[in-house]
Amino acid sequence: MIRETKILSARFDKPESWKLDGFRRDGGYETYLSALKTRKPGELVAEVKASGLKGRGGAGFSTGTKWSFIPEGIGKPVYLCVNGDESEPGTFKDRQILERDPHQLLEGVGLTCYAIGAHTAWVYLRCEFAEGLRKVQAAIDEAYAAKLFGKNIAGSGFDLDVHLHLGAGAYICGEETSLLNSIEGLRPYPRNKPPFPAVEGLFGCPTIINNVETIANIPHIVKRGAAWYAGLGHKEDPGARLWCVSGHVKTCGVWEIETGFSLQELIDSPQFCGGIRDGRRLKAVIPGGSSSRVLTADEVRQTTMDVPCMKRVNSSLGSAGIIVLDETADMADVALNLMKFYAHESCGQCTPCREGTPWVVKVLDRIVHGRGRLEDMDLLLDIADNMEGRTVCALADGACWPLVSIVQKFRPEFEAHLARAHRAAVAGVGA
Amino acid sequence: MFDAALTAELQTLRGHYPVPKAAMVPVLRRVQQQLGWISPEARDWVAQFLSVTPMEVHEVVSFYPMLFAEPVGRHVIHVCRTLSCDACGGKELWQHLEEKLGVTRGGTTADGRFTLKAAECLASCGTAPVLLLDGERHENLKHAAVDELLEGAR
Amino acid sequence: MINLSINGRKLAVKPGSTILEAAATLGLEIPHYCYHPDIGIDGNCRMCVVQVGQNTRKLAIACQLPCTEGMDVQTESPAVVKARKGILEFLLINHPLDCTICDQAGECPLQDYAYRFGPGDSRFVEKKGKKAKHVAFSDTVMFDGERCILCTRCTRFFEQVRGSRPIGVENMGGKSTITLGPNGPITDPYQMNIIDICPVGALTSRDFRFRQRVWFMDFAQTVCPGCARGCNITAGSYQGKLLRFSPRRNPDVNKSWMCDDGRLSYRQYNLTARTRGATVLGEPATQPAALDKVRELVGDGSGVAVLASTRSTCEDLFALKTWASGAGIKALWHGAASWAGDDMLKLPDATPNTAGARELGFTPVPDKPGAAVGGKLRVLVVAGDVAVPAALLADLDALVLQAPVAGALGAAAAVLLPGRTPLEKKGTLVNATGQRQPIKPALDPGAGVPEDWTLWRDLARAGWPTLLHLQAEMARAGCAPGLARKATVEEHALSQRASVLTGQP
Repeated sequence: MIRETKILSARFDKPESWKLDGFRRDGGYETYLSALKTRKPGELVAEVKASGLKGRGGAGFSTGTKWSFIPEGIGKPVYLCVNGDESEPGTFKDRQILERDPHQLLEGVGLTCYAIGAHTAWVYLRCEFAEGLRKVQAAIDEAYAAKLFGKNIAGSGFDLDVHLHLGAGAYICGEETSLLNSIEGLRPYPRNKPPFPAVEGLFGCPTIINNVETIANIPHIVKRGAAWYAGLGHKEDPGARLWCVSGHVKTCGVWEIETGFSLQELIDSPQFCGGIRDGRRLKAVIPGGSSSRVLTADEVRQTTMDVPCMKRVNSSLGSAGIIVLDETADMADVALNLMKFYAHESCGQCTPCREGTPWVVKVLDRIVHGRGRLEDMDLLLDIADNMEGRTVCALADGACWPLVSIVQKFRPEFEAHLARAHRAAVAGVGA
Repeated sequence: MFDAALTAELQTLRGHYPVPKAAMVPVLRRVQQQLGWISPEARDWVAQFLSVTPMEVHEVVSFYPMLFAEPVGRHVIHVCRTLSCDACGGKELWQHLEEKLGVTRGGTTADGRFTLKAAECLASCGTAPVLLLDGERHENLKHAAVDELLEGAR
Repeated sequence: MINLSINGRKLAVKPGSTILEAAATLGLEIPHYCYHPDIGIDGNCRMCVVQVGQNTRKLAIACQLPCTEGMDVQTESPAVVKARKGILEFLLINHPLDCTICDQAGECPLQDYAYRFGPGDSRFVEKKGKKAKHVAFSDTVMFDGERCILCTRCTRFFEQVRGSRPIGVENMGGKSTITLGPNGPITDPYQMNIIDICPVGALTSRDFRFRQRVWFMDFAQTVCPGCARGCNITAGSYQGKLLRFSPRRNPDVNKSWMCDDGRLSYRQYNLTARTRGATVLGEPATQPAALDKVRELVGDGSGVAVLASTRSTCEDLFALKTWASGAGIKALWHGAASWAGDDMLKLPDATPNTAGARELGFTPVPDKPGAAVGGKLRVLVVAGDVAVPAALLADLDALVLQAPVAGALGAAAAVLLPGRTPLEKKGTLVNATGQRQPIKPALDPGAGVPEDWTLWRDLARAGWPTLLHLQAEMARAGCAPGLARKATVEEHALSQRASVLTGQP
């Protein structure tokens, strides 16, 4: 039975939930101040590792493991960058934290910095989050005023500076090494790895980049322990996540639910999405933000939202941006819409993505507008095959997953466009 | 080029970083907030302020969609074109705005009041369709609401 | 050492070596564009993809990935062959069909790799992207945005080798292009190097534009005679006229670079008027008659000085000195020429063999030339293209002038002898850091212009039938001629050799 959880979202609906006084009344920052005095940084890293927390930005890498990559005795400052560049189509959960409980994030920042030995953190927010920027900056100011950031916090000897940093409208900046170059004031091209950011990141120093939601989990894990977190949700993919649903459902929204729930139930339940709008039939779901493989209605019926199930159905949880499409959706047009996104957002650094994504758009555009050819279907798949795994970063992969899965699973819809083109050609009329 | 208060604000921003160049985007966004766009003079001022070449500023400004190297109207509208918005009223919203304002994507109205641009996913998919007016988000937009919104933007 | 295998061949390399470098030690060329040994790694073109282990899903880039112990690399697996073909296809889909009018044709790594590794027929039936074409970046460099593959070798050359940013990358995604941005035309005195490093016809020489197809041209490996640096060059000519100089890579002298002044100096070696055959007292004479006149003027060598050009080869100078010493001439002077040096390659000494001349015992012109020859300078023998100080001409009885072009002094010369330019010579030059470098002729001067050293040999009646004999004598005398520096196996593998058609080095 699908149930909402209130861990990350516990304070979202409280009046003026973004302000410090309410946060502190609800016990905020106690875990942080206590940890500064009574816990060792290495303990916190171990705790987060044992909790099984995975990155919530889309890649799903073990957070504690990432933290443990910071090398010892390197003699350079360690930095934390919080990735608030939320731009994955279908995703709007980080913004909830930024606007409705920014202090939860900041307490997570404090704990994370303490754990990894960082004394400077940058919270990178996309510039389109005007309200988020105001609220997070106000929260940072409040934290400084309350001496929760700054020098010798609560007499612990721990110093921490937290700054806001802005993006300027580029999805690629959500890629962690692009984010680093963006902060450094360079054209935000992703970097080839190795070296990895934990060894050589921001300004050449060891750097951890974590998603907003990932960091927001830290105070809860530190307070209640790894075993508690590991017991939430699915055994092999523990935790509670913020799930976004948009598209053709009666009720869109963000809900916090433990992993392992039924996707079909989320869509149908009157407590959640309330079924498909206007009495229509479900056609497809993109489960993990646009950079995930699409699921057919049949596949949705068998899908539970956890990593092991996603492996079985050959898709991914990604950024938990669930996009629901009903029978009115033209899947060829859906593919075109998404591929335009990737082509527009391609940074242009490397050959396959820079040239491949606009090519895919041109082919799909022809198909959708009745000028497609039968060989275009295999062409699309082969272009994708030549992009995936051949680029500096995963943007091209993120484009290939929806493209290939939509072409493979909804081929008849493309063929309908091709038939239209063929009839027009035979009749001697332009499409 | 800027008054004492703004210059002080930009200096504080610059001071957050170990190298001045890292203040590039925050400084440019703040300057753009003031001037509406990044003029050649603004670009050169920022270059000097950050101890970099005008070319480095140009390379950055020309990259980011939210940094404007050309003048814009008094009000800038960004309408989301990505999937969820497109599937939930976005197509109709575009049509309505293009007709109402008499411009196509990227264009500025003849009276210089509005520039209409496309944006990619604005992270508000559940309340589609969504637009930004002068950087502030407006969601669940029925056409009447849009008209009212634009009325208020003089 | 790190032990790994490439295509099943085992090898050991220094720690820190990349796969590309490791493969090069085997003479194995992994095709690449954006990597350049004198600019560095960028990892954007993806052309150098290789398979490491069994992972075909994600291929590595050889230019950047460091070798690790036990690494198993394949450069010709089906996944790599397909990926490479795919990269070339991506590079070609928006590339304009300019080959027929593009200067790069025939020495174009895009053509070459497309021919060797590319997909053959095109599958692209869309409209190609449009960008700015024939944009003058300066008086000497032309840019074409549609041909550009955004390897960024050009911007990185300026940033890393010159420490400047006259050009940059603007826009994003498929609209990205190279730009002058807020800057005016490029003024950097090394800017023409970006023409060589550009793997396509996006950056071309305005000086060379539309002048000739490289497969019709002749190329000689030689050394720039512009200054004492001795940058290694390839001199390209067509039907006896030089059309261009381009740098040849020598990690010990000029790396991959040369200055623009040196590059464009080829023009001055296309002589329009020159001395052919000999002249005695203003009348044409046979060479033997002219040499007899020289002997007559020189007499017992007293009061005679030789002023040698430091544009001459060591062989020319050795032959000259051998004759002069035998003829009793003690004053062996060399001339000088200078221009403004710079912060990189260009040296103020505007001649290529001052060091060679000094090694052979030539000295700068003394302050009191008369005193140096025991009273009065009677006869001056000018050997080669050298500026003659007025002080030497003041009270002269006779002038012997041996030079390619007689110039203003021609009328005053008792004997005029022909001379070759450095681009017409075979021999050795010694640069400012003591490196001995061979030069080969790019041009044949035609009738009446023998090799300079043969004139001094004939004057001395010495027994060197060929240059090799002279060089052997020099070796016996302890002045070894230069040996050609052979490019290493690695350098061959990384050189992106021009098409077999042109035979360019």
